[in-house]
Amino acid sequence: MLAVPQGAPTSPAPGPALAELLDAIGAEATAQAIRLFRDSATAGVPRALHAVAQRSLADAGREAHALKSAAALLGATELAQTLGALEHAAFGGNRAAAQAAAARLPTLLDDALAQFDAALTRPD
Amino acid sequence: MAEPPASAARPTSLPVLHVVDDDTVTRTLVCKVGERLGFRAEGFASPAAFLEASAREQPDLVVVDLAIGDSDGIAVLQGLARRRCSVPLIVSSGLDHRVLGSAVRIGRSLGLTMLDPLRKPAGPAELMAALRDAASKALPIRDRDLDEALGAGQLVPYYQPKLRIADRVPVGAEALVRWEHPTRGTLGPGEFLPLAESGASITPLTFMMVERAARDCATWRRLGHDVGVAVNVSARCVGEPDFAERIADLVAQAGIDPGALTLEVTETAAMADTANVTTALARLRIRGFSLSMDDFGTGYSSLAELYRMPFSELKIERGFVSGMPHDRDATLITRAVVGLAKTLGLRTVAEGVETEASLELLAEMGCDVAQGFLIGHPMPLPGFIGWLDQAAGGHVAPQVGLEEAA
Repeated sequence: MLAVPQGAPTSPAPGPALAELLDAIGAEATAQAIRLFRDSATAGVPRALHAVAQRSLADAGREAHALKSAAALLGATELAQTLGALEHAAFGGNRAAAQAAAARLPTLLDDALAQFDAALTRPD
Repeated sequence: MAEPPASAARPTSLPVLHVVDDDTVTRTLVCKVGERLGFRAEGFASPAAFLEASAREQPDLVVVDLAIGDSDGIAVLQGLARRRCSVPLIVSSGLDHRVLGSAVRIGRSLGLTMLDPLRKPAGPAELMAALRDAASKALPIRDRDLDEALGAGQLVPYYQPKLRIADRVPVGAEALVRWEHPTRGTLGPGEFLPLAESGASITPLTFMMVERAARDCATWRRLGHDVGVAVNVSARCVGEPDFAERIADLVAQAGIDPGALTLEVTETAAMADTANVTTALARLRIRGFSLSMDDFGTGYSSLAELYRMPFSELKIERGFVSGMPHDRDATLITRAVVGLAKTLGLRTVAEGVETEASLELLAEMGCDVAQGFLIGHPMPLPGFIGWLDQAAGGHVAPQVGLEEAA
């Protein structure tokens, strides 16, 4: 077995929810949904961060709301929960909580997209 | 017949799912899951686009997000209600569950068929479960479903007991088909028999019922219960050239005498094709089967044809019997039918006997046999055998009801 150097990036295994989706609707349909999500999330997350930085909490809340359901449906549970937390904080006027949630989004989005890629390229 | 090319459009007979959601990813995923469940799915980003499309082609199921940009899902509910559209709906939302509950109540108050709502964010498993459940509840039953159910043994006879009125002794049971559906529960014949009658399923269904009923009858006769069984037969089957032979074969295979089986033919069906049906019925009577004219009083019969038909029994429609004794006209008609049957030498069976008063009145009229909830509800084979055991022990008293035996 090859040793994996410490700190080297690893391919995350697809979560059970995403694996279930793949089984249910197939790789092609899942890939299509993931492409759509990637397009909207890679634009929407920076917009949400910018809105929080600009104290436009309502805009941040709308951006988070727009991405939350799709993230959940694709099995990116933690990303969906954090988007929900941002939405809740933003619409509740809690800037500190909105900032905390927003700060986690880029990493969680990267993780989710990596997980999607891994799921789509895994050998059957 | 040549197969259609692979690129041909989807068959239009597929049930249609409309998804109303302004989020492209969610809309796409719900459509994909719907397609996997057998729908032809179409997504709409706005209520207006959906309402326009649904006016052209009514969907079989709608999933609508309650918060769509500047609009809301309530507008969809109102639009469908204005059109008196009864399509089943799932509302979905990430809003508070009380908001979802309110939307469901609003939809119901508008006369819409509201299914369980979908709380967002939902994972793929929840979405699939919601759509699968909705599909099983909302989609119309198709010929193919009936065929598959027949093949899977999901269509089964239930037995409703009949009592000889004079001495209140069990004399038989009517086999009534039930569909033990894996997701919808036990379905009565009203939910699928019209489809079977209009399609190709009625013939195999009829023969399956005869086969099962004859076999079950043999079972309770082996246990010492000397009672017969009645099965409803479709006029379409009776008119088939080999009908009498097939029935005789099935009964012989079960090992019961032809006299233990009564074939019930509806009055309307019997009159539909008099020559063919009369020939088939005559052959069955010659072989020793009992023949019953079902639902007498509801069809368009001529008394002369009734006289010519080789029936041995006449069943009085439940609508007359259940109205007795308070409904004077129903009572007069029932009395007249009993008298007519006696004149023609036919045994009379009263359906829909639900009260002791009507049973006593039927006894006074000279009616031979009673069937109805007072005697017992339709029940699966084990329950019916239990009912017969109770009756043999002298424990069957119609006034106490016998539902608990089911």
